[in-house]
Amino acid sequence: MAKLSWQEILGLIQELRKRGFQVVGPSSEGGVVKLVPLEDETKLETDYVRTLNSPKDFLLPDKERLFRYKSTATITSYGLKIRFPTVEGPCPITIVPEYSPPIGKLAFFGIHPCMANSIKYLDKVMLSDPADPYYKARRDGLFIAVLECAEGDEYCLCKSVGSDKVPKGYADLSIRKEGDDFIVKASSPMGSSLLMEESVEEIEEPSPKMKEEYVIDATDEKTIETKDPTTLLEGCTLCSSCTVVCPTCYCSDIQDRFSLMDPSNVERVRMRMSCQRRSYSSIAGNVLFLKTKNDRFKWRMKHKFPFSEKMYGMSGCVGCGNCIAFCPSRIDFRSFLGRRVA
Amino acid sequence: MKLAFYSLTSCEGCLTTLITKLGPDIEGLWNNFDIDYFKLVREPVGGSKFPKADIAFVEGAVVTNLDREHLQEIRKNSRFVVAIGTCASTGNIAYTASRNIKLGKKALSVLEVREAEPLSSVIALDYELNGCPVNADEFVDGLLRLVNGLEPIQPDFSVCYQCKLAGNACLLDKKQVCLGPIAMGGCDAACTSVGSPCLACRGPYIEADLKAYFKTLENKGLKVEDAKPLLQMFMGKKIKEVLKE
Repeated sequence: MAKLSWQEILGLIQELRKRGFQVVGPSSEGGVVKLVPLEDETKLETDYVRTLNSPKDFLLPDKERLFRYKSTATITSYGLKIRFPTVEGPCPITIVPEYSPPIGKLAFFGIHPCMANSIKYLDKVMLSDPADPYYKARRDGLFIAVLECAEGDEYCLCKSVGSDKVPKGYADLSIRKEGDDFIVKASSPMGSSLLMEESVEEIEEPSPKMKEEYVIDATDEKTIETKDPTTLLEGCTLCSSCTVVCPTCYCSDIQDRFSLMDPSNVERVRMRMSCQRRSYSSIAGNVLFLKTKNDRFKWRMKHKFPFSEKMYGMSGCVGCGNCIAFCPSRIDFRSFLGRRVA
Repeated sequence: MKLAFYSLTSCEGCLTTLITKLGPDIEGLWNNFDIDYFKLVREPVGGSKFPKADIAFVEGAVVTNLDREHLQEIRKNSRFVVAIGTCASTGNIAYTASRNIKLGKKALSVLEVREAEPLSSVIALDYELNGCPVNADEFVDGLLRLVNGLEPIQPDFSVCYQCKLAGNACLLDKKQVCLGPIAMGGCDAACTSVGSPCLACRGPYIEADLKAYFKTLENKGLKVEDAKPLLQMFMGKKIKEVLKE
């Protein structure tokens, strides 16, 4: 344990950078706090409740190239003919996988416990067999310095979903703000080497204070199905902001991109997808599974709670409250799934 | 494959954008396709004003009688007709402006000017590419999909979606009327990223819900009346259809 001044905290960031990390931390920009690569460490913000984006944006970017391949596109007088691999005959394309190069090690500095929980959830999803190689390349050697959260705002619900504490192994450093100073504890060998301490300590952190407390009961799919969210969703324009700012929404879509310049060069790209979008559930024949906004809202809730609980043994909602705070209509799912107790 | 690029009543910004914004792709466009007409670049090939083409791209709104005749000729001579730009897909600014103008009937007939209409009110359209001006990447994507016999896809997300991805603070929270929640995305939230509210220059997106949007405005303490003139600016005929619903 060490008591560090503001300057010494900035020194830690410089040291991390010297060790080859790309340091990402909260910074106030244009009226919102968001996680950005900290090129200038003095821009670090330690007095905040929520960030607009989340570690997800760095571990699973919106657009990433999976690989490139050569197609047997030919240019005829009738136009371009691009043949896709078929079941008949040999595959007409040669796939030359080009993995995105390792971007160096990532370090998250000053994220809150809920965000550390979101990294745990993404790990469960992306690293369960078979592991996603692109995620793994970014995830390997990740350094996390968690800044304790003293008090949430009116949209926070980490206590209600049980993610108010940092999960084991998801913090190398734990930082608590005390007046102008910072109490820093190392909880991994990497953390202690940075602090130049020998011991590794167990983190004992107090839970953040909540403005509002809820009991969320959503372990059963059927209870969600039977509820009617029509009045709640009156202001929902299906803009999908909720899924963009959610730190655990990982759904993606895969597209092949051609260029006019050289049609035989094809790029396979993974892009973020949202269950609130029409194309998420549309299949051939113009069939749509999730037709209305009620369907889509229920689907999001089901994925966050019962589905995640069953598949990964943890809640898909880490209680950051971003989906409520950044919704243009402030649609609040808490009263839909549970009830307020304090 | 033969392509033709036509221009009706417009600022010709869409065709200019294709020339300037396609970058190296413009070479690919020229090498891989037979371009039989491209306003500003190439005269019609083969003598006819409307050469037979596989895909015709048309920018601009239908404003004069001549526009109407030309468009019908284009339809006859082309396998696919694709509207490019918001003028062609919604009627754009001219749609509302021409309905509010106080020209006598006589003056209008001398000029042969009618109330502006999008292409879809005159002919059957195969596909629309929105944007004021059109997005060059979306054009390439749409073209390659048509060539491969696939239906091009329009963005099915709102401007809010990309605005949040860009990491912007919500302008509605700053008490500015922004059309982001109902506007068609695909612009990478160009305006809202520099702090200017969205005016929906690409028209409403496929699932735009005006009722919910008005409810959102009310929740934010903004006046619905303030949004109405903005709604009529770019969305032309499409907003009329949405309002009816």
